[in-house]
Amino acid sequence: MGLVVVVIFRIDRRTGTAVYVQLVQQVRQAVRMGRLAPGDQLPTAREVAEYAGINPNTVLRAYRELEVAGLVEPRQGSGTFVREHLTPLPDNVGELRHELAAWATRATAAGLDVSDMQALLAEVAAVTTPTPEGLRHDN
Amino acid sequence: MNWLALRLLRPYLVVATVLSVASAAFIITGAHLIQQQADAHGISVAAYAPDRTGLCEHLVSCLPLGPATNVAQAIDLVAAFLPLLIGLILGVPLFAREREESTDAFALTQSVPRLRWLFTKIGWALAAGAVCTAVAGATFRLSAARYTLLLDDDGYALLGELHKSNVGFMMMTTVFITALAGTVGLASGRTLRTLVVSVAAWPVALIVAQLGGLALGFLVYLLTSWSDALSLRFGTQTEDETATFAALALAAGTAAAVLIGRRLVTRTLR
Amino acid sequence: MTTDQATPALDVAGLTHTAGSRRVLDDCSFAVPAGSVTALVGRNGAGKSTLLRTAVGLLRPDRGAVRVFGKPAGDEALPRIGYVGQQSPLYPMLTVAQTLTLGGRLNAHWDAGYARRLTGDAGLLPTTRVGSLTAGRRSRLALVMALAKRPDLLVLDEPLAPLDPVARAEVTGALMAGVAERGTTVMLSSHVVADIDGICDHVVVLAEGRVRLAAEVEQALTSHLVAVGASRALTDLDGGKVIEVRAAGSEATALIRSVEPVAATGLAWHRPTLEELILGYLRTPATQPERKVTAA
Repeated sequence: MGLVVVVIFRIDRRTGTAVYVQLVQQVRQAVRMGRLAPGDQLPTAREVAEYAGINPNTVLRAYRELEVAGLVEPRQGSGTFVREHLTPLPDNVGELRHELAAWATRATAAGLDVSDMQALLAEVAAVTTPTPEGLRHDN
Repeated sequence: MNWLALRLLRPYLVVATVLSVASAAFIITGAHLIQQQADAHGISVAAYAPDRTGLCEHLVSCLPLGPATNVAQAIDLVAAFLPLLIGLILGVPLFAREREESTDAFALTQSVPRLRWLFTKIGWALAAGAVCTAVAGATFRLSAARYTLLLDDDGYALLGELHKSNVGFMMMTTVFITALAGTVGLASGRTLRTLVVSVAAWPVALIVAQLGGLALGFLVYLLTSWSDALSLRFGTQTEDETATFAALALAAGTAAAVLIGRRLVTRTLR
Repeated sequence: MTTDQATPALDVAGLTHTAGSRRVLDDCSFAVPAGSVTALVGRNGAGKSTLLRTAVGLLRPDRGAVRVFGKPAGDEALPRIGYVGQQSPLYPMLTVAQTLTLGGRLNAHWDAGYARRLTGDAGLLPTTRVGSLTAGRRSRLALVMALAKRPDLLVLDEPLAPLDPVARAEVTGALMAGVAERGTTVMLSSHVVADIDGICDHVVVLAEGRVRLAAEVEQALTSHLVAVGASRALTDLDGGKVIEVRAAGSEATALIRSVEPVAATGLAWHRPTLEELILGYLRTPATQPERKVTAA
């Protein structure tokens, strides 16, 4: 059984990135880096709200998003836990990567360097509203 | 609310009490001194009775000149101005100070109806004022009023109209001034402005009370005309009875001031 | 909390108030959903304090009405409201402990244990006189008084302004914990946008007494875009949707009310930050007032 892990969320209000997005990113990162193991418990919305001084509704929203993404699961009355069996990345990641590689080749040919490409990607991604459908993965 | 009202009133209550007790002590000591001087000069001063005047001819001092007259004059001044002073001490800061320091915003946003806030505060202030003045006033009436009658100066005769040697009238003067200053403070929210307005209103109030008392007395006389005994009684009023009617007029004024305060709290400030 | 979700915590309708010859509030209407954290943003003198004072019943508006959980603002609504006014007025001659006792005497739902814990957290000594506290500490105590009343709606007028950064973080934490635990609705005013980012989920922008924007933060952010590019290209945009244009030389940025980038060449589009959004509305108070009422 996992431990109650106190994930320290760092909220940067200057980046312009929505707070719930920062929370989602930090949990993803913690799981990727192994700081959060399957079965570990995430802090409650109240704990995060009090510690980071952010709206608990925002925390709940981030947790819902993580749940939809298959990264965590709520357990009735006991909290939110990192899933025992993490859903693998969607099957079409390879396909997306392939498309991106083709695009990167064209971009290089057009005279864009890496930072140009990053800026372009960030700009396009920023105006593309993530829909819940876009994040849901079929198990 | 009672606790808060009394806690806020405390410093002023202390000052008013000290003033009242000190005045009473001064009156008693002063009366004693005058009596000694009178005894030394072989003057006998009769007990106070309403309408007992004319013992002294003008320019002929009945009290021995010197300390006795001076003290009697001082006692008369105390009796005339103490009701006003106590009323100002208790009434001026009652709401003006709360509004000046915005603490009304705290008191009025707790779970207490605002009218309870108003009536509790004003109720305690009026009661405290009445008691303080009653103590000094009763002391004056019982031990010193008979000497001030012997003051031959016209000015002091006029001064006598400010207290009428009547405890009820003195008490109601304090009560009315407290209520008036409270309401003015509630409306203006400024201590100094409240003080100025209240002091300016005092002589006007006394004149109106005098006239109101006379009108009231006349009304009672008319209403009791069916009975010879009663109408005779109210047709020829003693000084004390006139003073009581004037006190009743002040009571009506007090009620009006409180009602205006109530209106201010429910309408303007809400 | 047994709050009916359909009834807004605060319902402001057609609020108009004049002080002297100045119109402080001009036909303000919006609703604060129960359980939300709403920021009331505006420049100094925009009418924020007046609006909050009418909400708690301290001021009777010339026109319009405020309802708190469906009841008219005033005595009846008072037990459900915790209010801290500007400069957090408290009785200076009382000690901290006496002030807390007073809270217990004046409020039926007073939570003495919670009050003690909060004063301890804030480092307030019971024997200190309120008059000798610094502005920051006094505002902490005022906040404790409002929280320990266990209200369903907290109305806070510039609660963070007198606090140092550490106290600011602590107070925000305590406030947000209260929201998480009891679903308390919070309405707080501020003129510092950075203070409310991440705290509020609804925002009301007040400029010169008018409601310029009243919306859910996330919704407002996704329904606006910032366009950067040549001034000429920006002036071609549909005027009705443009909230604000700021030019610097031949380049300009514009805040536009639109979900999708508008077809126009030579413009870079990005989502506004909360600060960009609010500033855009605050800087252009003269344009037509926006009257978008939040969905309760």
